[in-house]
Amino acid sequence: MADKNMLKQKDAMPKVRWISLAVAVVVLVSLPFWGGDYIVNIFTLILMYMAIGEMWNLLGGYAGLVSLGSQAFIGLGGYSLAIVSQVLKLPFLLGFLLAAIVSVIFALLISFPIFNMKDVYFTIGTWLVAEALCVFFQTWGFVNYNVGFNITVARTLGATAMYFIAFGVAVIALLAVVLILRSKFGLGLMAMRDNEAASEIRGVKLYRSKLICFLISAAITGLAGAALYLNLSYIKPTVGFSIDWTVSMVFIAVIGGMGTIEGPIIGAIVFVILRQLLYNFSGFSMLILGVIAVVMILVAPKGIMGLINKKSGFDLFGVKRKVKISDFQTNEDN
Amino acid sequence: MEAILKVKDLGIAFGGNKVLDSVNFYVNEGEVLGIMGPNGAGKTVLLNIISGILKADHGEIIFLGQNILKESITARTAMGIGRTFQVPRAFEHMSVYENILASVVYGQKVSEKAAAVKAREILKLVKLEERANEPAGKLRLINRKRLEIGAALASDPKLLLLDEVAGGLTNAEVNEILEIVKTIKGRGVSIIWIEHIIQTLMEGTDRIMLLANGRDLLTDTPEEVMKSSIVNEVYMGAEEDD
Ligand SMILES: Nc1ncnc2c1ncn2[C@@H]1O[C@H](COP(=O)(O)OP(=O)(O)OP(=O)(O)O)[C@@H](O)[C@H]1O
Ligand SMILES: [Mg+2]
Repeated sequence: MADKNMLKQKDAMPKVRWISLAVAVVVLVSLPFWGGDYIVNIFTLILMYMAIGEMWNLLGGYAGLVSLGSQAFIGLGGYSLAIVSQVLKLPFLLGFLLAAIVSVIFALLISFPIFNMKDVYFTIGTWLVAEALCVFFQTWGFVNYNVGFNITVARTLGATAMYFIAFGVAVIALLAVVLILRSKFGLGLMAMRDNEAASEIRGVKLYRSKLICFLISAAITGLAGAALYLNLSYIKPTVGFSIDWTVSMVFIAVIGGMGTIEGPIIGAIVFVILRQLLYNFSGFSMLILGVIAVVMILVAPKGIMGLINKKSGFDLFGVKRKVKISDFQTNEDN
Repeated sequence: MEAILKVKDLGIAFGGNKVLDSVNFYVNEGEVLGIMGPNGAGKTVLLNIISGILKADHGEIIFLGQNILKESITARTAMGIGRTFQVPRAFEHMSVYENILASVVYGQKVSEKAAAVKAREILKLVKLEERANEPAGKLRLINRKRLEIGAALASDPKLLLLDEVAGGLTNAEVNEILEIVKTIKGRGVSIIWIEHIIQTLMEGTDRIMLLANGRDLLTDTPEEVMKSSIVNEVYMGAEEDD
């Protein structure tokens, strides 16, 4: 019977899943002990970009919120780290805590005006908010105006420590998305992703669901912003609040596949490697990445994950709900 | 018999296009009210107003004794109004089972575990057990229509609004839909059923309302409606207009 075979295949899936995940964890955790500095640095970047890609994808891929203002949280995260370590001279890890808190509060405050904007107005709204924040930081003496900060603690940190911080941020981002999608809330989120109007008729509260995604995305993007600037060790407003950050996130989500968990992981790997390869064309690299993204949208609108998914029912993180035919037979009598 | 839904003097215009002028009708508890009318008569608009997607310019909608015009879409779902969409709107990248599961979880505000049992019951009712783990986006039309009905049932509605669930199907398939609707009616659910296929309305409804020119031109038993000259006039008129 065809159905039975199909179910058997699906039962084998969790094993494949656990083995793949276990291999990934072992490789990543042991990486600094066998990989050279260059490899460790590359993976540090991949992990951090994966985190912000996942967070943009949570908004753009699931909640239908196309933001061009996520750099606001990268900048807030970076500055939180700078203020805690440079101005307050406190342990820099507190900067990560502040990054998440400040980002959530800021997100909540701007949600009131921008959540009343629809579609492209929302997109423009988020971008304007980030630009305004940039201007504000340029004129704020407490954060050294245009000059910004050298984040000196970064220099005392080895490549391995930096790698594990990036790893931690990536795990938090991934875990957040996986737990959300495996929960009741995630079921509504996937419905929203597929058809917003229909999900609302079925009972999903759009405003609330979107707001929750916006706040989670802000917190973890802020956290990643602190990690990114710990790695860069220097922050100023025009860079910290640069739209380039969000352009990278969009690229990662689009290339990997929007509305999937695996997409931004693949996207981040592609993005970081491409950026390394394009290092010599620094002036053009964004342009080249943009062209690649546009071609991808035209050729494979669902990204690399879309291509993979067409062939197999790939579900690395087990967010798909399955039902067994035998479940139907047990309550046949009513 | 008590009316579960009363619609009074309902009207809506889009710009200068007065689609509904003044619509008045009621649906009794446990009854199936059929709605027919030419293309563009405003049948779908009427369902959109009842389910909260569109705001009426004037009129009243009394559901279970309460005026619901100010209630949100999700509140109306929670109160017991379920609907299908004329062009099925499934969650395409989710499986058939996940479609129903999500709709039960949110429609009835229950845990996923509690929803799983109800979702399986609904899948059986609409005869989609065999397709449960298939992506909704890959279903053929009859199964999309089944899923659409299943999703509308997921909130355990007291009033079910069906928008051309038999449209575009073969005769055999139409009969399957008819059976499903009869089963739902048998469970005490009141139904408004929009359909172009007169034969289906004749078999599946208790009363039929003719909607045309922005008004409820006629509401009567299927037999009386078929005998009426108004129906012929409306449909002949519409054909001449085309
Ligand atoms: N949101 C809207 N904005 C503007 N005009 C609309 C809107 N929705 C419907 N209309 C118009 O209202 C009229 C009635 O449309 P409706 O879809 O209700 O027809 P219908 O009776 O369901 O027809 P059909 O049998 O073809 O489904 C049409 O002229 C349509 O263009
Ligand atoms: Mg219609």
